[in-house]
Amino acid sequence: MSSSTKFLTLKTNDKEEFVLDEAIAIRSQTIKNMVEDDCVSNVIPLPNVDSKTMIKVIEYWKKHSEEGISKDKLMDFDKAFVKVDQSILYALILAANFLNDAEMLDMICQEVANRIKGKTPEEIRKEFNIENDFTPEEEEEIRNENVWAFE
Amino acid sequence: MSYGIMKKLHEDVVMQILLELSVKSLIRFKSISKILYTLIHSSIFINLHRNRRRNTKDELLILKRPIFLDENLYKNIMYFLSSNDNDDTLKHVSPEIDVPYFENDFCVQFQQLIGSSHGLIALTDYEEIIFLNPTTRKYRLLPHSLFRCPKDFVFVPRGVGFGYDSIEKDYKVVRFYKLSSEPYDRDLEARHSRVEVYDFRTHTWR
Repeated sequence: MSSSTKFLTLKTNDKEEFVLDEAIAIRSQTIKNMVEDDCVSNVIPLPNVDSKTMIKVIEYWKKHSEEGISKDKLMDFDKAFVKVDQSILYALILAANFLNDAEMLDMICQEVANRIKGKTPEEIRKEFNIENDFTPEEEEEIRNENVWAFE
Repeated sequence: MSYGIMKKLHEDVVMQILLELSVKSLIRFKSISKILYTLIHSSIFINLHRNRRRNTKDELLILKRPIFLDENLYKNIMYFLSSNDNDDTLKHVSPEIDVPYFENDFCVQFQQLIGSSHGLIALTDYEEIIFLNPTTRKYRLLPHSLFRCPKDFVFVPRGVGFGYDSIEKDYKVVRFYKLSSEPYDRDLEARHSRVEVYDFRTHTWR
């Protein structure tokens, strides 16, 4: 690292502060834009991220910023990284979306898709707390049109 | 903890998750809620899903089996076999699709593939044209042309083509006719051609 390494302080919504190398923090497009627009005074507030989630995000950023790390190692890391509870995974999606880290968001979306792809509509509704706003007749009609997809 | 997560998620994140899913899962998930139904059916989503990165170079082989039902009445069943570059065997991708409309014996012999584009297949028996989407197993019969042959003329279809218009983002079918005066070519001067274009989105000829 050059002698001009700059550090940023990120403050999560539960008032925890994280001091991070700017070169790592700008993996977040949101933070990068703030830095480029010169609107970083001392502390960057992250109102949509809690500290528990931020620890995971920073763990990911640091691993992906390691110099000379092999692709295989990163893949193993990513695989282990997404093996977390549903609730943590969803918190990570919200964080990756807010921080605007496309690479991380991509990876988590893929994981969510893998988890839900075999499920029935009922299971998805329950899991995501989605209200079924179809009438029973409408739902029946969609199902009947595509019986094969439910087999 | 996941309570109401969908409400918190940006629509584009939901979209990104859905983009990773197969068509089969998506068709099933359409029945979850109206919001998802609308999203999955939106042209933005459909275009993105079609253009997303693909891992395999799938090739599709169509086979047709006409079943004789009655005199001049046939039933045509389509089979699809797909191959991908990982293995040499042909796999039966989906159960057969029963395609109505092609019912005369003429089409048993002459049913023709017009072409395929973005996973959509166009077939014709010279009278009817249908679009077939082997992935969703849906088909669409094109309406008959509004064109009426003028008196004292006969018209012969001369060619038909199918393609995707990337500017208007729409599928188009183009059909040529040759018109000659009746009795045949009584008046050579009167001979002319006619071209028709079908727009998939408006489902009409013009």
